[in-house]
Amino acid sequence: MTDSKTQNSTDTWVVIPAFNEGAQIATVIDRVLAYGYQVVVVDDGSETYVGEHIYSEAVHICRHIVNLGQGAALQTGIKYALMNNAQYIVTFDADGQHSADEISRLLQPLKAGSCDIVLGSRFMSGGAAVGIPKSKSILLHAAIIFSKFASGLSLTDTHNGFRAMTAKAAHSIAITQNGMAHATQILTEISRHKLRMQEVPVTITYTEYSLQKGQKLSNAFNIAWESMMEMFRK
Amino acid sequence: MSSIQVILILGILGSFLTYLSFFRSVLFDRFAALGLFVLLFLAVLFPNATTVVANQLGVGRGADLVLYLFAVGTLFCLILLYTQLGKTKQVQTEIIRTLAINSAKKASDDVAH
Repeated sequence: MTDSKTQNSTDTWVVIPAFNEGAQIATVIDRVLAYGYQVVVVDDGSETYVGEHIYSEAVHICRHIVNLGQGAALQTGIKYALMNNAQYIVTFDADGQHSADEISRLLQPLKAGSCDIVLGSRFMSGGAAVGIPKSKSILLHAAIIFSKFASGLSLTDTHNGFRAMTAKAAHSIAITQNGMAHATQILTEISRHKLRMQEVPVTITYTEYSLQKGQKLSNAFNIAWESMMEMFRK
Repeated sequence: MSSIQVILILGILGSFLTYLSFFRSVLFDRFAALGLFVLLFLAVLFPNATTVVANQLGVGRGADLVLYLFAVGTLFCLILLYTQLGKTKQVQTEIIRTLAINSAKKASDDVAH
């Protein structure tokens, strides 16, 4: 059996959606590239082309000509990675909240063949939400209840953008929710396709920059509305 | 509100939502729209008949009945438009996605670098 430390990482693609990200995205990307993963950044119609902040020549960039939403950007990146023969796909935030060190922790169960998709959790034992505002923590815990209703899955963290999946799972999941409701839709897709799912503890680090870029609490109603309307669309 | 009204409202709402979820067809939508227009024409041509029908249904005046039907029909049309808008948005997304992937490049290809 191949030692996981020496296993080729180039079969793993990290999808990073980006919208109006600043220069810090270069740091985020460099940390991911250091592990040998392939990286595709999806510029979701940013006012300034994200490529102007990227100095690593190995990064692939797809650009939406208009802003569609994070869900749409993720689907674009996933599709691009699959077209480039990705065996494993990781979704990763551009704002520095996720740690590249933990990507291998998400990949381990996939490579062991014990599941099809791994979801990062900041609220399970071993995970952490460093610097999380109390209001956001309350809302995220409420989202767990909503997601249970929508998908039937009992999870400890349902709106965590740090996740990994096999190519087979990525082919199954169709993200049609362009906005932030995509997180709930991914869970309903897991349930619909009966994908084997596992949660893994991760650390989410909130900074002033990431909180300023992040979702407003008032958007929770929009997410719930879009998730419910999805049930009536064919 | 009488008990039968509550039951009928719940029944109509449930049927409508079930239709939207599982049995959508453009043909049925068109027949429903056509039926509504026919009813409106008949109401204009035979205004006294609306009062007779209204009384049978427990509504005081024919004009009130027409108003209720108009409200339900308008809501139906708005929901159809909303779902159609969603489909258009999906098509738009696919076009933008295809453009993004077809024009994808590596950072090393950028002129600035």
